[in-house]
Amino acid sequence: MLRQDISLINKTLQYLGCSLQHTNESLQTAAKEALDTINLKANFKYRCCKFTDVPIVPAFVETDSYAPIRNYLPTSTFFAGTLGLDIDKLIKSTAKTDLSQAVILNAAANVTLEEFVNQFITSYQSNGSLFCPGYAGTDIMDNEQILNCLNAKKLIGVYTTESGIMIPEKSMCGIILTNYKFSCIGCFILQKCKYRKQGTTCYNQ
Amino acid sequence: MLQSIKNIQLFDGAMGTMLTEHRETQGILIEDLNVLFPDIIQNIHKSYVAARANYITTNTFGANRIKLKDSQFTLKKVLDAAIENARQVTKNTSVKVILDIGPSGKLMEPIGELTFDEAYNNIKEVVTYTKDQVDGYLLETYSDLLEIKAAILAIKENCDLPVFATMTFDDNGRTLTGSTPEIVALTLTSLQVDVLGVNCSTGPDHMVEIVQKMRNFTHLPILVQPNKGLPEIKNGQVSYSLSDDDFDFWMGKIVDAGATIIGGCCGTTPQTIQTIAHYKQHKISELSPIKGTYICSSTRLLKLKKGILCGERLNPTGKKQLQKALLENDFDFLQQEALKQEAAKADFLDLNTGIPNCNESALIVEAVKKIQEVCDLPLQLDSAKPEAIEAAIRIYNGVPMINSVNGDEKSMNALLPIIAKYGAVSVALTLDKNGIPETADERCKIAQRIIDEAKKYGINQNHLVFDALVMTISSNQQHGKTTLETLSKLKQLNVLTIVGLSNISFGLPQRPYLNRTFLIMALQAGLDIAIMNPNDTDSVLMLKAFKALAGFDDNCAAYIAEANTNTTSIPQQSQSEQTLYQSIIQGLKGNVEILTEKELETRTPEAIIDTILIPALNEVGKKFETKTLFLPQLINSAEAAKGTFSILAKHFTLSNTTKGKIILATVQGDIHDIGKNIVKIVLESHGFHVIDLGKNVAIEKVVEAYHIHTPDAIGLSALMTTTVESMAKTIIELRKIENVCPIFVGGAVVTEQIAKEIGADIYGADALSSVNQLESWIK
Repeated sequence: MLRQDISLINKTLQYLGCSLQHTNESLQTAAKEALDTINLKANFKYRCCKFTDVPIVPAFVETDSYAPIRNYLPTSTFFAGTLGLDIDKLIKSTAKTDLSQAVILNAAANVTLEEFVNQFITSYQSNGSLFCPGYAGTDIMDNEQILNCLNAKKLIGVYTTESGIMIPEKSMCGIILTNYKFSCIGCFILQKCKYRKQGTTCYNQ
Repeated sequence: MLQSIKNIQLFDGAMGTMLTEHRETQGILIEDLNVLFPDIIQNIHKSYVAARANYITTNTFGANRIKLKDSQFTLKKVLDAAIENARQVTKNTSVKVILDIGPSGKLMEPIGELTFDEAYNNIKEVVTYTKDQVDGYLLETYSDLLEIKAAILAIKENCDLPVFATMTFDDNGRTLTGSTPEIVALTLTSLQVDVLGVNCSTGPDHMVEIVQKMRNFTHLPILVQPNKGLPEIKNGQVSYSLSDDDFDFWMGKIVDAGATIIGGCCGTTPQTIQTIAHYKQHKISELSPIKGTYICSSTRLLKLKKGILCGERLNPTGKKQLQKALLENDFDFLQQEALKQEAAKADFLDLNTGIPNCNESALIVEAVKKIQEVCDLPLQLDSAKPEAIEAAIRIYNGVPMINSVNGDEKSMNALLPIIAKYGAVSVALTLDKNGIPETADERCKIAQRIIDEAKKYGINQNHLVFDALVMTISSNQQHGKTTLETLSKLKQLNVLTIVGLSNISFGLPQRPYLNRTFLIMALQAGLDIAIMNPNDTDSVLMLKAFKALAGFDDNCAAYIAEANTNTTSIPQQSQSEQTLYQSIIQGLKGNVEILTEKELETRTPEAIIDTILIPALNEVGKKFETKTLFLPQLINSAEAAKGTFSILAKHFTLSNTTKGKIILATVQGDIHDIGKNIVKIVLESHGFHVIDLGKNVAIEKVVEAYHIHTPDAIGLSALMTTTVESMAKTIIELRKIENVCPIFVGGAVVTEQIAKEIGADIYGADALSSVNQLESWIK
């Protein structure tokens, strides 16, 4: 269970595109209630394994796109975490009867997952940050190899589709790097990046 | 054969753990080792035989077409080699060779992409290759009840060998897809496996409670193969937290809890199995059948007893909107109806898709899948066609009720084998080829005939729920009395009873009064399960009141809960203080129906659109763009406007109300649809007619839909970079159509530049901008 605080409510509202100065009480209440609902249903599970303990190092780390983080790998940790399938089902079924509520639940689930993962990383590794396949020009399909290394399918129930989408949808997977500073250099969508045009980055969303 | 075992029996332990000692096998697909290193595999088998295992499992956990795609050998070669390795060490012994089958590694529909038929055929192929060479099949480490059901059917329909079926549970005592041990035991028992159980999971300590729960829901032997504690990885090596002695201690508890066959999973070795071999001396106490009658979905278990409510709203008889939805394959409507009944506290739902000129089997299968995607309640699969019932029961996740068999020989010959094969519970109508008997005695005679005939198929009478049959009192005033007498007499046969209540009042005014009164009379006479409308809150409250008054409700808890729900007033802004314009801007969906009707008293529909709806939507749009109103509020406003449109549409033809026809789809490979659904509702609120193809839509389906509907625009959505490629391919195919309509795209990763590059006409940064652009394109 996560401890509820105002920052999570604000993050949920931000996910919904709300500017905090214009949100009214009813939206804040809706966000709080959605966080409560997600918190109650979430079954956060994770797996992690130090890079040096991985029995067979996956081939993708040798590809060019991982060059910028290669020096960080020896002290890194593979990680996957999920809120579980119940959350997917809750959002899906709510969308059938109340799409607005489903959108709020979806945002609350994203915030909850990130919070669980951040709390884990903070307790696990000071100065740790999660590098997810898809960042900086790396291939999102690499998720599958990380999940395989962690035996995540069997142990925490995180699967990938042929398109590399993780199921349950509220799952995160990546490599915990120590003292790593995220950068846009080398990212394959650098020229088209809509975050960049907005003056921000994907990893700061 | 396995049900008659007298002593605890022993399975082997882990194969993978043993292989870690052989460095030469590292990096090679474990199933390929059967061909490449037969000596190593045989030696491992040999050591388990030496440890006194009664059964050894072949090294074939991933040996199926889906998982073995990276093998250097054919599937048949791997399977043959694996069986030969086991046979070599068991010849001249009584040890049985069991072919090991693990899950496919893919998630089943509707959560994932694997279809039931793909899962079935994947295992059928393995069985076809191996059935003459092994002594049985072990399905293990499954976490999805539907996938193991497909596998069980694939084995049972293609050979007569014993099936051992075990699933894995997490530390919350549920499978990863949410099934409890009780649901797993009930479902696997219904499918008549020979042995069921639990393997892998966490450690043996967590399995004690799981086995206890399973034992209450099966008379079958239970196989338990735990890991040797929790895995830890250090320096590339996996180790497990328990010693062999600890493992032995917990296995004792597991045997006491009701296990009949024991073995080991990850981390166990021949030494571990040797350590627990002393349990083979233990006698097995007699296994008793399940008490009571249960049905279940994959996540909800329901005991059938007095006062159970079956929701009737998914039966198209007399329901025009549902008939239309079924005809148009509008499964959203079915899902919404199911969820409404679930919210109204129905215990399970009747599902009937019998409408003229449709393929009922295909329709009910699709409906079952869609409802189970969002609704937890068990279903009653209702059809007059046995083939439709079997098609639905096959892909149903859990143990359903079916509706119905009757006393006609033809009906019993067709349906009793299906009930027996799938272990379903069935409604049994007390009629036969001569029709509905006039008297209660004759109806009960038919009930007895069905009970006797069912026994011949091995069906216990607790799998039958008898319908006393309700006919309207408008044609014969004795009909109600006969039903009540039948209920009373059926209870003397010690069976469960059911009726569809509302028939009683057909053709009479003020039907709810008759229905509610008859409900209480029927409950008093012996009714257990009422098929009725759970949205009729008065009837539901009366049902709960009856249970409380008749002593079926401990502490009146169910009554108090229902009564409190019904009397809680939901504060709403007074409609008289609200205008339609304000209600749309504020997204007050509940207000618009009355307010629109009120406006129609003084204005034409066109005037309402021009002077209220469009200005309100413009105001909402402005507020959204200036960030003083946000996405959830935009959706509420859109839903309110859509509600207004649907009322106005009743007053003039669709062509006058619609701004254009739009096809929407989330592209192939992408399972996210919340963004697409937002675009849909906003489009509808602005007067567009949307044909929603759903998510993960194949390219050819989009093209086919274009030819069927000739839309004014096609919208494609993608959330992932990996599926933008699929979006591009869809556009390429659409562009091959002469004069194809505009194509608009959107989704989290799609930018204006990407839209241009992949050949889209319109880029929708968000739902509202899509609508604004479409309005100018389609003008």
